[in-house]
Amino acid sequence: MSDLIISEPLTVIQGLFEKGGKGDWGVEAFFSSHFATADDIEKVPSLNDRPLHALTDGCLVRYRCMIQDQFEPEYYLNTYQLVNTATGGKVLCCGKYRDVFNYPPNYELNEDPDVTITDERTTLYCVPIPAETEWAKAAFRRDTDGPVVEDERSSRRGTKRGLCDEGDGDDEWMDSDVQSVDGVSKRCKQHDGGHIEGDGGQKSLPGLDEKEISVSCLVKVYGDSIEQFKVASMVEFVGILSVSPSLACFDHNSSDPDQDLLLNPFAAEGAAERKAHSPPPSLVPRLHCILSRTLSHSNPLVTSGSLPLLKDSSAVGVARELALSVLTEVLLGDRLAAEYTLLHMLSSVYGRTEVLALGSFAVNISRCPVPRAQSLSFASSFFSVLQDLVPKCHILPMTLANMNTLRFTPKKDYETNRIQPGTLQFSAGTLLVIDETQLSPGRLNEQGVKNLASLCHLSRWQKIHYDFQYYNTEFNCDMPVMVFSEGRSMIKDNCEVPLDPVAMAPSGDRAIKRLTEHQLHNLREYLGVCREIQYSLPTEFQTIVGDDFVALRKVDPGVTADTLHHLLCLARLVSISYGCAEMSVEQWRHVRELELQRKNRLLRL
Amino acid sequence: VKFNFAGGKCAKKNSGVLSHSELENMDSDAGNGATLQTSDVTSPTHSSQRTPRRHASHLASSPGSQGAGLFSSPPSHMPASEIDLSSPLSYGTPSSRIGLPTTKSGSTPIRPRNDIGTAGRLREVNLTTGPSDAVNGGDPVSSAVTSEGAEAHLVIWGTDVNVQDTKKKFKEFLETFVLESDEGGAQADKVEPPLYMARLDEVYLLEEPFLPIDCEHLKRFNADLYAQLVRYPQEVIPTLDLAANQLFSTNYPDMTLKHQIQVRPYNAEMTKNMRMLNPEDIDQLITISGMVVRMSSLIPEMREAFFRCSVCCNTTTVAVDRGRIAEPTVCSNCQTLHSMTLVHNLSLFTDKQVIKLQESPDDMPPGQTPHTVSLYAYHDLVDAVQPGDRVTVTGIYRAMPLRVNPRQRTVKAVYNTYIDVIHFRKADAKRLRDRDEESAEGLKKTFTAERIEELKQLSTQPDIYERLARALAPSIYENDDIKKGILLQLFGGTKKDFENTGRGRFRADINILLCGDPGTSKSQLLQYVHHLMPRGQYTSGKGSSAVGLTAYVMKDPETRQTVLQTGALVLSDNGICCIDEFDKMSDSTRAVLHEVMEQQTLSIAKAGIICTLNARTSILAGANPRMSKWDEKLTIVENIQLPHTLLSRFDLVFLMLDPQDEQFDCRLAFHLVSLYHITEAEKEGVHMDMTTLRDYIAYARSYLHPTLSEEAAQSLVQAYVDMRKIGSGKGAVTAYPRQLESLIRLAEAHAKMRFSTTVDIVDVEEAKRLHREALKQSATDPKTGIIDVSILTTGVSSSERARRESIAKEVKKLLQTKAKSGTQMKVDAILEQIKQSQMGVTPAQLQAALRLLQDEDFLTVSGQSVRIC
Repeated sequence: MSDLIISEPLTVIQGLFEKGGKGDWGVEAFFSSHFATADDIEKVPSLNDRPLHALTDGCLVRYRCMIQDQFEPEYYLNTYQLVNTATGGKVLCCGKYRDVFNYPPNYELNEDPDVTITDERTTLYCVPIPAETEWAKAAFRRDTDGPVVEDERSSRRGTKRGLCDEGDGDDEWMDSDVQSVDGVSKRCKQHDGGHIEGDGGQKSLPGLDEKEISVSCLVKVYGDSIEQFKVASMVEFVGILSVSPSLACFDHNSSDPDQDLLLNPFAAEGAAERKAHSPPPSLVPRLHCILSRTLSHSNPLVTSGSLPLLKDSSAVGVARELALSVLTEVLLGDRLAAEYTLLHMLSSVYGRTEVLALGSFAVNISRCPVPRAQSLSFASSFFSVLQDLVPKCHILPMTLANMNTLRFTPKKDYETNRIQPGTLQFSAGTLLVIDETQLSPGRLNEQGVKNLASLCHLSRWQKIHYDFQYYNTEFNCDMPVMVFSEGRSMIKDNCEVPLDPVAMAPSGDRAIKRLTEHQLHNLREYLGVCREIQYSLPTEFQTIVGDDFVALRKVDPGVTADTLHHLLCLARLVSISYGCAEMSVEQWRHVRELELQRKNRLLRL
Repeated sequence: VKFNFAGGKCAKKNSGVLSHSELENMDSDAGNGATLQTSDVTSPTHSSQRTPRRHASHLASSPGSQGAGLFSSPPSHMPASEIDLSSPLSYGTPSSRIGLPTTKSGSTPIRPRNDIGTAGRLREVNLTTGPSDAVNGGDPVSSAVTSEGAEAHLVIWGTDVNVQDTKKKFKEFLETFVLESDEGGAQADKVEPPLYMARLDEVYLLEEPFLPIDCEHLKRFNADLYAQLVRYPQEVIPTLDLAANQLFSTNYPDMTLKHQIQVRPYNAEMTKNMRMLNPEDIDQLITISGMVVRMSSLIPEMREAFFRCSVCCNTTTVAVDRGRIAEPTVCSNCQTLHSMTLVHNLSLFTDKQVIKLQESPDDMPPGQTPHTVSLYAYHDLVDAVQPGDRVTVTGIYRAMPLRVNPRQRTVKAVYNTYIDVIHFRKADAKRLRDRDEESAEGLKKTFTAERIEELKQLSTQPDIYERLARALAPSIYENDDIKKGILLQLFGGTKKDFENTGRGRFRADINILLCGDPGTSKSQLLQYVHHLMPRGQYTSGKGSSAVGLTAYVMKDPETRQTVLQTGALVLSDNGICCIDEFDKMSDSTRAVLHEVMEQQTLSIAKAGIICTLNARTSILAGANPRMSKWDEKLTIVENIQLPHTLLSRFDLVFLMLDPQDEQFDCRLAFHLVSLYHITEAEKEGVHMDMTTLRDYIAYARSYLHPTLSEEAAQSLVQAYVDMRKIGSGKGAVTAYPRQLESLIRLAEAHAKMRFSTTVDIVDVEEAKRLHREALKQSATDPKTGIIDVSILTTGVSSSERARRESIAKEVKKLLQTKAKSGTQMKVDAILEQIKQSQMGVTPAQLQAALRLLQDEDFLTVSGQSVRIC
């Protein structure tokens, strides 16, 4: 039965439809009862992992993605009737969850409005979660099982890697000033990833990039639940794949394009828009959503089973120590910087009061060593380690060329009626590393100034402006920003930690390589689980914090409300880094101690 | 059921140019109208093609040929008559067709209405035998119509629209509808002419054959007619056209218009948010608003194809129906197969334009992208709007199936939706003036009666002022007076327009400047206000150029057309513009603000575009002191380095200083910790939430226009005189008319806040208090400790000015004794000498004194040396 549901879901739906019933004929209830547990869902082939040619049209698939754009609702035939031309017999059919319906030769569609029901659905343009790191992808893949799939996948990746290597080489030749940013081993993949988020929407359009086949998907959602799908949120869909070639946008059916243009009113609407909205399904498949689940995180190791970790405080302590030691090594032996970096990696926006984004913690590592020619910059070597620890991260080298040519914020293109992705359109929880050491003196153009402003805005308010040409709209986001700079960063309002190096040469990812598989797993799990802790501040701390604040202000009149915000935010992060859901006195002391050390260092260096 | 076959032969669907119809000839009262003959002869072959059967086949159509019919077309199993509404009209049976084309000279050509539908052909069904389910499809309204009258009822097929009835009612509406004034018949003796008769008169005078009808009026007059109009616009509007034209030609028989009057209904009550459109609205009259984002170039849409036989040169024309041409395969003259060729330049075309309308940003739920909808505009509605305009559109919602290929046996059952535009209402500059009324109308729709009652209830609370101030940015601690100031700014003064009496318009918006130490949450406050107000703009002085703030001219790369792109100030028209880092702004940018902040307009002269845009915006600016920390010893002008001309345009200038006080710190800490501590639910109880505050402000802004009461006016005068008096004793002016205006605005805003229609003493008192508080902070002379408005208005305190004069006198004395005319002296040397007689002279003061002397033509300063004249 289960196999049938996966291979022939439309037949199952038609069966349910014929039984009748209100609303969606119990389709959603049926499927959700069938896929109640994670194990059940894992049986469904994943569009993320399997190549499109290995899946058949009309089968059930799941897809983990980020919503990049939303299209206008479209009206479709929910119920239609076929009439047998020979016998006059009538059949009612369900038009939901499909794009195209074929009918046997001796049947005809009855368009009588009394029997046809029109309904609306919304199309979402989805892309695989951008900036996802290799290990996270691999972990999700492992979940899916099937050695066959693994083989297929890896062989496909093999060829892709080859292609990509070539492309990468070319890129470096062609535009050496848009620096390649990644660690040597990761370079190829990351570069590829950069393409997706850079302009995934366009790249997957015909003729532009054949590399990333089947990455994006047009997901059609039904019902009134459209409001729950927000732009840049992560969702897992279970639905029916639709790859009928007839979905592609044909330029014209008619042999006489002139006449067609005159008579077909839709020819007038830009061909660009039709092209953008209906790309060939072999490149951008369609998915008719039956079940959906909004994801709060995309860490494959954070499951209901990872809770025991938190109960075992010694295990948390070990993991914390391990994380610190790795980070210390990467940050040239600077333990204080490592501590702040760890807190930064655990930070997330957990609430918003009016305009403040509570919990956002931006860090600026200043006094970074300047990279010598040919060698990787300090930020890049840090990033290569970060990639092995967190599920999603992205590095942005702040070169003059990048600032002036890239568009950081998404922009609405009215020609194609699509939102063109900006460099900073990431889902919640993506760590953003900004390498300011790459910035050389020079002139910023208009785009550059805008980009800088949006970086500052992001770091301060955790919001991104989407450019709708006639106005800007702010979208909330949650991307912890970390800036590596030589002096004080241009991006203000963050927590500056000057680096005080002990070792001189960057260690690269040696620190990671030394870890055993088990240790690495624990480390990743620790970072993932602690981020999700629901934290609260005990009441008795109000007075302690208040008194401390008053005392602080007596000593230093420069202490303002912002300082207190900062301290409270740090307190939360320290607590959750110890796996605690409430702050304790020692942790508050630890926070004060950290801040004191940082202050002293700021004065000293 | 007995069907009456009417109008078997239909007049050819004629182009506007060719037809000569006589509306007056229509025998409209007789129920069986006469079919009109067109003066040009329709070829018999052609008209025989247009039998009712053809139409029936049309409806029973195969997939591919029919579009909107899917939704609108009634069941096809019923024979019926056919009316071509875009042609000279025919209502009646063949028997009554006696043909009476008494062609008068002044006949008005018909112009087909593409906005109503390409298939303007309607069929009437006679329901003489009473209600019948087969006919009505069980429509109760229709049955009601049929049962009430015994005479023949011709009803348009599939609807309950009775043409005669509708026409009669509509004529009645036009002839009698009088707009009731809001006073409710207080001026009973003054008889107003019927509104739409006056409109028809306008049509006569202006020769613009369009008659806009406010659906609200129609609804008030006859709810049934209105309901029919909304449900069956495609059928009813042509009928309304008929009625309007008949009425017009009766009243102005000698008038020939360009084409027949077209009725344009607007303001349909079912005003939809773009998100609320759903399949049920298809083919109904809807009104939605949004912003125009894109327009296609003009598309000539073929309306009538002209075919010529390549063998015998016989010609024929075929009307385009729903985007398709039934190409004649056989020449009717020589019977040659496939010989007919299309002749483009003899075919008839209509102007058409595709416009994209995007949901306005205010309607967008958070985290969602805006929806867009396509609009099809025809004829003179082409180019009626521009990208960037905010418009309200009334039109018919349409759906057209998108099909893969009619020849394939696959169907892609998706519909393309668009709106056929009937009426545009632009929120343009002219309208913006009486925007208050309009938005009040809009608010009535958005606010329910209960909500309004709730808000009114709230306004009666004795501590409403404090409550509202507290609700404003609760995360920012204390600074109550500043919050109160901003609160009053949000309400704004009463708009006063004396342009008719030549005194110009008075600014009603309140401008506020916040200056103070970094880290005193100025930016946060600004951000908050920006989020609170629907038309708030937020810019930073550092990043924004004059261009980004005002407006700039751009060349559209495609059309080579110059377009005006508006900046933050223009965008926040009727709203509030928050400018952070005001002090970091370049001088040229600041210069723009001078005009904006007093005249509230923006003049642009660029690339051949010279225009004045409205920028009636309140400005809330934040500025940091020049030396990063506020220097208590300097005046505000010296501290923030803003030109005093600009500074004096702010009604209130607040200092946000960091109070060094333990008590304060303690409370602040508690307040901040609670932000991290209290759960969402608890917070709701303590503070008024943001939506309530927003609604409260929106309501007050649009409904209340308080005027000064007698006592309040007296009190204001007294306050002003008092302010002047304070200074006069010491020879300084402490108040200028600008301060009086500020006081009035503040008092009005306070009255608005109380939901009061008059400004009373309380309001004036609060305005005075707030104004004094702000002055106390910003205009206190650091040397004398006296409040001195001249710091704000001229940039120099009067004590400082006196000091400069005395130094100047001293220098003059010194130079007169020491040097002869024509000698040069170093400035440093003078400073040395002057310091001996006057203590503590700063170089800056000496420079100012030298400038004074230069003005007296006593000396000239060049660089570091002085030459005595």
